[in-house]
Amino acid sequence: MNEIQLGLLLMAYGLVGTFVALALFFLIIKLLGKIFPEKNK
Amino acid sequence: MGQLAQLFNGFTEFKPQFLIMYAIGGILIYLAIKKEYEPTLLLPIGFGCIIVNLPLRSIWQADPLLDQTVTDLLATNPELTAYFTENLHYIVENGQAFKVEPGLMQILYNSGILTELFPCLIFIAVGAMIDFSPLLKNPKLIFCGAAAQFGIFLTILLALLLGKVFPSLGFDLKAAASIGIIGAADGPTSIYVAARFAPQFLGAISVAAYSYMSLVPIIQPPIIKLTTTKKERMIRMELKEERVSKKVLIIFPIAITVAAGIIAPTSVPLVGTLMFGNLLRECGVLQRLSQSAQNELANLVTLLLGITIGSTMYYEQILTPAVLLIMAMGLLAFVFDTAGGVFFVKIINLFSKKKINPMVGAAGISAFPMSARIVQKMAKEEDPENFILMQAVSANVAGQLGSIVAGSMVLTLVPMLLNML
Repeated sequence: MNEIQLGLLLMAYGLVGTFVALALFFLIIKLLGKIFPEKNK
Repeated sequence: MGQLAQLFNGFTEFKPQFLIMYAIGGILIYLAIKKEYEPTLLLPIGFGCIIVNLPLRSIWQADPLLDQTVTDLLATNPELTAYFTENLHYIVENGQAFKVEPGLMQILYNSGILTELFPCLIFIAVGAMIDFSPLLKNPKLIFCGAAAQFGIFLTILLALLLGKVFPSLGFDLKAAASIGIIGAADGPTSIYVAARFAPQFLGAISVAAYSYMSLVPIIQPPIIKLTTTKKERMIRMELKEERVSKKVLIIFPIAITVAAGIIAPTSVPLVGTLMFGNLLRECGVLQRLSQSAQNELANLVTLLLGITIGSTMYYEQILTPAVLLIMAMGLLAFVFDTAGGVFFVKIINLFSKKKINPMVGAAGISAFPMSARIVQKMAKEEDPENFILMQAVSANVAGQLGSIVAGSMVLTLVPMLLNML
């Protein structure tokens, strides 16, 4: 496998990984919002 | 006579290339003072660039001293030469061993840059400055922060292609990753990755990252106009924010640190320090520490970081074709980041009834808060009553997270992929 192929793999895994990580953070934010809702004043 | 001649070392050791470096340092200082382009970094970097390009480079290393004991030792044990030169600050010339003590800047470099200490301390300060509530109120826009990191990976690929065509550039996977990370639009992340993978390009990468971050108001608008139509720029967005409790603001940094640490353990120094700073801010009981992080810590570390990075800009490392290409590719990284964010939103709009203004995607770059302000300004130019600042800020804050996550992906994946070679 040459370095260009590694670069393509890095691009694919890197972007997918970034999206997956932020999707997890999104779920964490949603979950926190459900568990600790803002109290109505 | 030989000893007397040493009095004039400053003249005999002066190189014409130093003059070019003084000009480069002067330009950085000019941009910092006159144009106010990221002065906290560009001025120290510019001065560091000048101070290291002086005869004998005394700010970086002391004069070599002949060590007869080590010379005799290496004469009988030549296999020890590599150990002495790589670990104990020795150089060996013509069979003689010279001790070269590190100077002030090399000490700061070894202790603050090579150890990744300075970028992590800066992240504590940055975390204390960030308000994540716009993102927590508009969590869907977190994906704009992911899309706007596209430029990092495309630039890595371009650097690899250039390295293949011109092998003398030295753009292997590690160097390409360090160049691509300029697109994170995040100084500490760029420094962290470059120090790990390509310290020989650290100076150029840092200057590129901070320069282009300050040039975002010039770089982004033409790209946004090129990639969107007037109709798209006029899309209005309803401001419907979710309510966020204080508990969420406090638990968020802890939860993100744990999650990031499990997904990508190499991200913990970056994510952990950022979130620690944010926790200091949000907990509500550590105002003094939060203020210290935002002010004293940020200022002290920035001061040392800047001049140390500048002192890596010795002419032998800077006056090369590779550095010019790095500057060009850094710009491309920002361009592709902007385009990536815009096109991501356009794709989402194909499947969504409630349209998102594509310019909000461009705000997913980590240059906070400039990018959000630029997007709002452009929206207002098309429609004076269009207010998308809050959505742009949400995307911009998401970009802070996205850039660190992308940097962590690079740190994790590059060693793994190199093992496949």
